[in-house]
Amino acid sequence: MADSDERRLSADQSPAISLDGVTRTYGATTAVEEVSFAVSEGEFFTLVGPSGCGKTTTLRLVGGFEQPTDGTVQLSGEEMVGVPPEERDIGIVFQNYALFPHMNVRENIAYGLNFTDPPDGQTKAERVEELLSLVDLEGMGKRDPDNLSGGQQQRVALARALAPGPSVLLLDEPMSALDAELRERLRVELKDIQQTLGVTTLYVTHDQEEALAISDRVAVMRDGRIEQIGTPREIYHQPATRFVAEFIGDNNVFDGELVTVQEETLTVRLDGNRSTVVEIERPEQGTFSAGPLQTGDHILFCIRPESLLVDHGENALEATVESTEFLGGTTRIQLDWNGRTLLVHGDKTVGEQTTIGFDPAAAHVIERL
Amino acid sequence: MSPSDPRRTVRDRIERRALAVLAVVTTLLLVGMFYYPVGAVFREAFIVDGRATLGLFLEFLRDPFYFGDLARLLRGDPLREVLPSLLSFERPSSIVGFTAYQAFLSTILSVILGVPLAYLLARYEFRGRRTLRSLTIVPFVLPSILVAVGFRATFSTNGPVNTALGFFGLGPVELLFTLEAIVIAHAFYNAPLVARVTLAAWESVDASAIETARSLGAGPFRAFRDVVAPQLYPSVLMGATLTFVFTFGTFPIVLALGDASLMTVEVRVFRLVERFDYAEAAALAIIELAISLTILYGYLRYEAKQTMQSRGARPLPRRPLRPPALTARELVPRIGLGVYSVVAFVLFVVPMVSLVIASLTTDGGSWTLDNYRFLLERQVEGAAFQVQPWPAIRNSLLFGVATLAVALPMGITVSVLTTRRYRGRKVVDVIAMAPLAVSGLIVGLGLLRGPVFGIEFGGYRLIIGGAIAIVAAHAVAAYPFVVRTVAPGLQNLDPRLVESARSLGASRARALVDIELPLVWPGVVAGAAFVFAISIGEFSATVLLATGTDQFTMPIAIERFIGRRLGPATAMGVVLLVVTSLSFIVIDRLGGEQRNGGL
Ligand SMILES: Nc1ncnc2c1ncn2[C@@H]1O[C@H](COP(=O)(O)OP(=O)(O)OP(=O)(O)O)[C@@H](O)[C@H]1O
Ligand SMILES: [Mg+2]
Repeated sequence: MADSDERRLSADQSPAISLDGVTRTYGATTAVEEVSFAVSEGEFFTLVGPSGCGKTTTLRLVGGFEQPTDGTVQLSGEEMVGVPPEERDIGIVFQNYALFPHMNVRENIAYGLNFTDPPDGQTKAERVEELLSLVDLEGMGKRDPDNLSGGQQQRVALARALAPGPSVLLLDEPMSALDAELRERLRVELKDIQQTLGVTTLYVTHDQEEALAISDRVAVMRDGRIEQIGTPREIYHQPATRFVAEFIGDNNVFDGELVTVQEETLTVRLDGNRSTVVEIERPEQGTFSAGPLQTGDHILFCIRPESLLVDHGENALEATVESTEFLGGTTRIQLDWNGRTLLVHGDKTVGEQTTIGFDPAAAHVIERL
Repeated sequence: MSPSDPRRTVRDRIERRALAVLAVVTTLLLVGMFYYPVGAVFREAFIVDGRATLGLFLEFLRDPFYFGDLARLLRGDPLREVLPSLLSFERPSSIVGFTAYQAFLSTILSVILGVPLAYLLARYEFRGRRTLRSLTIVPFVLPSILVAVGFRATFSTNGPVNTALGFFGLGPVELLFTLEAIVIAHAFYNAPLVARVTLAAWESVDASAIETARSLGAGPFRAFRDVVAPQLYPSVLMGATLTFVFTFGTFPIVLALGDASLMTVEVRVFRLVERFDYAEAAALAIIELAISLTILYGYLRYEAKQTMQSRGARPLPRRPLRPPALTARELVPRIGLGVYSVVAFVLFVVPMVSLVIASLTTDGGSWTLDNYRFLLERQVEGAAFQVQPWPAIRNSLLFGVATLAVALPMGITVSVLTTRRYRGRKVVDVIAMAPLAVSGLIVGLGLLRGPVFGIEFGGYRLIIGGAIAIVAAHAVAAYPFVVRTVAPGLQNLDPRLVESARSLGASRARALVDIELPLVWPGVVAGAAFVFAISIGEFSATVLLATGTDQFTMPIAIERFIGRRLGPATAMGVVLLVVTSLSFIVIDRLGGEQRNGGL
């Protein structure tokens, strides 16, 4: 976690957003459970997870649209219990943008300036113009929101949220109503704008690829809890749980028993086929809570498809090609290995017998079972 | 936004509480204008000489004058003697019996006249269909006293009906002051209601359901019986139940069209109040309320079991009214509708036209504007206690505006409170909408006995003027209609809009004013039109509160004139008609049709 250590704050500066043990229940359902994280000033922080895992609820708790059942929410070190949304100094963009239909683009963007003076002594009109050009909508001020394309509406919503110069920007799946190409373009623009303004951003998405692409740090959620927090690279390369390993990108997860534990390497007898023993790199000490790994332990480790190599002699596994999927840049192959499915990249035909293998360093130990 | 900016904090604090303040004020108003007075009526009926008792109620129940054969049974008369008259279909002579009897007949006639109208509107396309459809909302704004004058004008000896009959050498018919007149007037009022609820169900029948039935081998009639009818009859039943409850509580129509032998419960309550028998009046009014609520409750229980409202994905197509071919199948229903149209024309149009004609003619039958001139006279010859026309018009308008000022904010506040999601919202809903179920007579009586006569308040006597009490009664009757026109709109708004506004710094109240109300303003204006129309036409509470004061309104003046001079009554009726028609147009253009919201 070297990356995240770098951005850890000096003790006297409070994080822009901080949640501590936050739980929110609705009757019998627990939407969010014991969630804690801190987002530092200017950081782009993303909540990612499958549908219904509590991302929106978490965002709404930060915005003040919901109150925690338990735990605390702080913005810039100030306790937010009972503080209504209008006093939290936030900007929010919803999935459906929620543009005010009875106001034109300019009026939408200017709305927040009724309650806050524009920053830097600007006039209202200057501020609106500035934002229109920031989101690349110059000259569109008089248009009605209904007559804009989805992408344009999204930018108006962003401009409206940014106009009062909020210290926190909350975005709830702002891209999910757009087509894939537009989504990719807009997320680059969004990241640009965010960096230019340096505004702390809490972003919610169920699209893991998007999360990795734009975030400084990512929190993966599942069933109301946070599974892992880390930089996109940490999340991708060092998943902390099986769920994270499988949710973020394609992955091959193996389980097995430690046969030997050496200085540099571990040998593992795979549960999928007891006669197969593979050698993987030994993870750094201290990664596992209940002491160092020992012979006889059961562990879970994963190897990304791009690191599983076809016709590779090291750590060889015998498998049969089940199906192939042409993805443009590569072909993804599904293999059957002792009744389990493996994913690799390569060029094979269905039904072919093949040997796959991997470099010991490509394996990442997830956890001890 | 910088929370520490001193210019904003004071205003912030006020704004932040604005909605809470509105909620509290609305609650206080509701208690003061409705719950306290209704409570006073209950106290009056249940507490005699400082002791709680059911005595008054038992007396009523055992009095054949009120409960007829039932009372005789309760008194201990042998069943053998009572049964024959209990089972006979003669018009009951007891008050409750007669009230139920006329309500029953009115309901039957309303259904007979309402369902064909729904059929016509649901299944045929013709010019003016939309207008006709909108007109079915008229009963909600048309004061019933107006219907009564219309009928007086229509069926009087030299009115249009008898003139027409005389032309054919028939008649004259004596319909006035008969049960028939009352029942027909009730149908005028309630058939459109039945039509409206039935139509809503008919329009939500999914055409593909019928097509499926047909494809499975059902003929057109069979498909109707198996697919359409089951979806219609719960609505017909709802229309019938509402009609029964409304006509059971009928008052101005019977007061104006009936005579001493035709007395309903509400008329009797009114007579008791006139004789200062307040306790008896209160007890009788409560009995009526109990009967009405029991019927409504029974119906709602039934309806809850029946809910199968399928939103028609694809409504049935409408046929042209002009028959496409001259076959029996095309002609028979259209001829039926033709006959219906004639009957409907006589029933719905003739009374209003007669009203206008009568206001413009003298007793001798020549044209005159005298009746209108009379309205503008400030001083009428004769005794001072006589109702004067001009003050009545002025009062009506003043009360209308004042009611608007009270009922509109109340209605909007209640709409906001009942569309937000929170625990106990159902209870708030019921508490807020209860005035719909309680007769104006009870509210009027409660206001009369409570605030108007004075409330003892730590040695002081708090007396509220008649005018304020009248406005209170009108506001209570009217504000639920604001809720009905505004709440559905609010409900359908994306909550994210308000949340966006609040994230940008707007308080809850500010978001209401900036975002929600502008987006539902047609509903707000329609609600305002309802309020005005209801205030202008309110009779039951006003007649109690205005008696002996100079606070009478147009409907009261009409009722007073009717007995003596039909001309001025019709002229004032026309004024009332114009005002309520304008309200109707506003409602229709802006939100009367709002999502068929139960109206
Ligand atoms: N107001 C509410 N009342 C009851 N349950 C709720 C409410 N809001 C959320 N929930 C429940 O809480 C859980 C989390 O919901 P939430 O909307 O936060 O999920 P999400 O991660 O945003 O999902 P999605 O990706 O589908 O938007 C769900 O099971 C949801 O049904
Ligand atoms: Mg969500």
